[in-house]
Amino acid sequence: MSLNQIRLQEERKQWRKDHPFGFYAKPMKTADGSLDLRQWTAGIPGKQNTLWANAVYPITIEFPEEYPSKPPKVRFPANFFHPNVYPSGTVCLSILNEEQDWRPAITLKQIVLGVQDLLDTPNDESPAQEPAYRAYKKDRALYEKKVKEQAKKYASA
Amino acid sequence: MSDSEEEVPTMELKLPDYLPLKSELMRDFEKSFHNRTIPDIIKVQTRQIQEAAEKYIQYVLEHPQLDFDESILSSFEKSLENLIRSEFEFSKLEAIRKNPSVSAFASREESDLTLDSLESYQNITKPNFSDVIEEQYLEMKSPKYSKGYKDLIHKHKFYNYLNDILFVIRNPEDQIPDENEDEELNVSGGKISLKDPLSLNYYSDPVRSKRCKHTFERSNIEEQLKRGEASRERITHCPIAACSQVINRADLEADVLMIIRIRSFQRLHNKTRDVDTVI
Ligand SMILES: [Zn+2]
Repeated sequence: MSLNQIRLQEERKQWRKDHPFGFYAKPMKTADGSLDLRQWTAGIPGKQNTLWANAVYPITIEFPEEYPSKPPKVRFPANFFHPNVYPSGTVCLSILNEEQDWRPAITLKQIVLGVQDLLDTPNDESPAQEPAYRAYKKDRALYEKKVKEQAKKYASA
Repeated sequence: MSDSEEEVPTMELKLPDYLPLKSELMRDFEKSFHNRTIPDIIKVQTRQIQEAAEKYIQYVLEHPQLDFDESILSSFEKSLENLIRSEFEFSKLEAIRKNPSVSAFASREESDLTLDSLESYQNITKPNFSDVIEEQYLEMKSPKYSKGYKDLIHKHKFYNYLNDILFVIRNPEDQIPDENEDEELNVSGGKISLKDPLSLNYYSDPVRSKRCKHTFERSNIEEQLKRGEASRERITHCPIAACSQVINRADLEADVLMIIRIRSFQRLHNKTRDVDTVI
């Protein structure tokens, strides 16, 4: 078995044994019903007492063949409203960038917690989309309204 | 009548308080205190015990079906402790010999005690040689000196290594307590992960980087090194997120304590690595 497969099996095992409250993460099923450990869906709960609260934001996590040497790609749905999310939905976060802070020992749990942190603490230095970045910098009222609308869309039951 | 009836003239023969050290005793003292063979013997024995212990550890490491025997390791540890204690006791003797009030006796020219010289010693009031020695010994019972023994123990690398091995055999998942740290600060019950951070599997051939002391499974860190060598930067960052060091092939060494942890863990839990990893 390759390091990639072994690691992903273990990530799954550890996640099932223990994961942070309010999150979910599971490998997708392929057409023939087996699990594809390199494609996961997950849910990131917004932190309490933030604009993002009371909602769980869906992401997909795509692990490349070179994982864990290379980081996974994390995506929100296309056009997700956040200053550091590209229009395609791809998250721009230093720990997910091989050229920046990615390290092979970073676990799935650390990744999803990092994404949760990013929701309410956008990074000024790496704008990834026009609408959310502009609103965040220039029109905070509009920004908050948009974020709250989005939270309603993904409201947790 | 018998002899006892005869009056023996009473004689005022009283030994003086101060007695000069007999010159041949002085010679013995000098000889035994200058005996350099004792520390040499201690050194040789320490080395022999260390070699025997290393051989034992190596042998068990090379034979995965064997378990480390705590009583064997303990007896090596005990022997070393005794030798360190002897070394310490000897250093006390040395300190006494070098003490000015003791060495003053060695250089003094005094006539031996005879009936003729007896009188001249009657009025001398100063401590005898034995009193000075005794005083020095009492002084050495003070905590200041017992700290010296503890320092010697702490400094002894191999003794501490044996100590660590015994600790991880008994507590394979626990952090080795740092004796230099306050015990209060050290009760967090820190656990050591027995899993490679790259594969999240139990180690089987753990290696540690001398630079940052992070441990990885050999084959997995070697894969990282190959990638690093092929990368633009030509370096391999330590895979641990919070670590700023780089990993070099030359800095990797077998993590013996981790190997012992794994083996003890498996023995304690009566399960093999395979059961846990094969899916
Ligand atoms: Zn490191």
